[in-house]
Amino acid sequence: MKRSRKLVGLTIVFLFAVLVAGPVWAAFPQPQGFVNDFANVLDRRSQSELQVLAEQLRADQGVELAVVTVASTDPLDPKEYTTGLFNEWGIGGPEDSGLLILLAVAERAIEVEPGYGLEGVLPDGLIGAVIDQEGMPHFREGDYGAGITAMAKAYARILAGEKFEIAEEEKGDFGWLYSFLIFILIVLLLRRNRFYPPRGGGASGGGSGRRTIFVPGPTMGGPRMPTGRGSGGFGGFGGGRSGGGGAGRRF
Amino acid sequence: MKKGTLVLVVIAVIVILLGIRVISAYNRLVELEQNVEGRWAQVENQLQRRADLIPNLVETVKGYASHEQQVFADVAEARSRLLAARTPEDQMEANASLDSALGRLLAISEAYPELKADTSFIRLQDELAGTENRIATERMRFNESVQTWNTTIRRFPMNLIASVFGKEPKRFFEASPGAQEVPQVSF
Repeated sequence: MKRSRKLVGLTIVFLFAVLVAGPVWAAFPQPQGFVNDFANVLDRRSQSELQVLAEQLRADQGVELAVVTVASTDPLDPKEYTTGLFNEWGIGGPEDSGLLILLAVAERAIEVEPGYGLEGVLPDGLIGAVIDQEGMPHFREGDYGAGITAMAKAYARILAGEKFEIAEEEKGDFGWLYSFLIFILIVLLLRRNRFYPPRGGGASGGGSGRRTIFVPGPTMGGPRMPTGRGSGGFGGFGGGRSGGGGAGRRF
Repeated sequence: MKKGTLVLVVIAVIVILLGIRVISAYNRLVELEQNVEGRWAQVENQLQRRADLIPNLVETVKGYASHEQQVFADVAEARSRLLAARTPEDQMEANASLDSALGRLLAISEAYPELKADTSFIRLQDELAGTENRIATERMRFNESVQTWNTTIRRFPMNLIASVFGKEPKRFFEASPGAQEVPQVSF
């Protein structure tokens, strides 16, 4: 009798714990690699490019980049979800040098969060400027893959020590002139590319012209499983922490 | 005589065992209290970080909306109160008034489209939003440590030991209403 009462008590405590902790923990999926397209919104080419980029970042800078897309972050708001997921996965290892790019489709939100170790190199203002300049134009058109890839490339360049040029708002009357000149330049470049088709398809990702086939890099297992565990250097995250910094936008 | 010795020995053993219990309980209390203090230091860091951002933000807003003197004065006053506050309680209160003053400052910016488009203003707002999120995160971690502390010292037999050493429950750092609305840069 006494024993069964104890059992009932334990069960109640357990159920209570599940009820209290459940929604928060259950909200986070397991990491599948550097690129986790849970919402199925990234095209295969972007996935491959991001995968290669993440492997390079880890090899060259020791930085762990995680890209995550989710259908929704409900019941948390996108920022809370991002911070929670970051610390739950432990992106960035013992040096806390992780970078999480998270896109929530239903909330139309993009959140970028650095680990403690990257806060110095990637201040929030810079993170936000990269979102504005590299990501937002693509997100507004619904091209999530291109936006995230452009952003990830910009962050990789900053982490490698390059300076990111923040576009200044044009104040004078020359704004239209600059736009016009740039437009002419683009038209000229495009025309040039038409006459001189791009050479080769290396992994440098110059982005000029249109490539019909993507040639996977040597580190890839094959085009069919761009995010598979065995295909690259992904051995699981762990230990990385973030303090909730970073920047986000709604598009 | 012999019986008396036995009683003494038994008492001595009990006292020693109790002493060991008390010492380990005390050490646990010290550890938990240190944890709470460490967490609070993290919160302080982020509050400081935000206070450091404010002068730049105010300067930028002044460049476009110089006549909104009242708000600038409020922000400056709340900021200096936060920097002057020493105890966690004072800091929490000063922080709440800084929250509301900052809210008004950012509300102004809505009326000035040129300010909203200023790149340095956007960057500062990102920094500010990031810091708000950091404060929220550190606040949550601080509150968790306070929770552990408060439950531990209220449970038997720890409550006896805690009261002997004068350990008291600590106050949570509650988010002030409106502080949850992290300034969002929207387009």
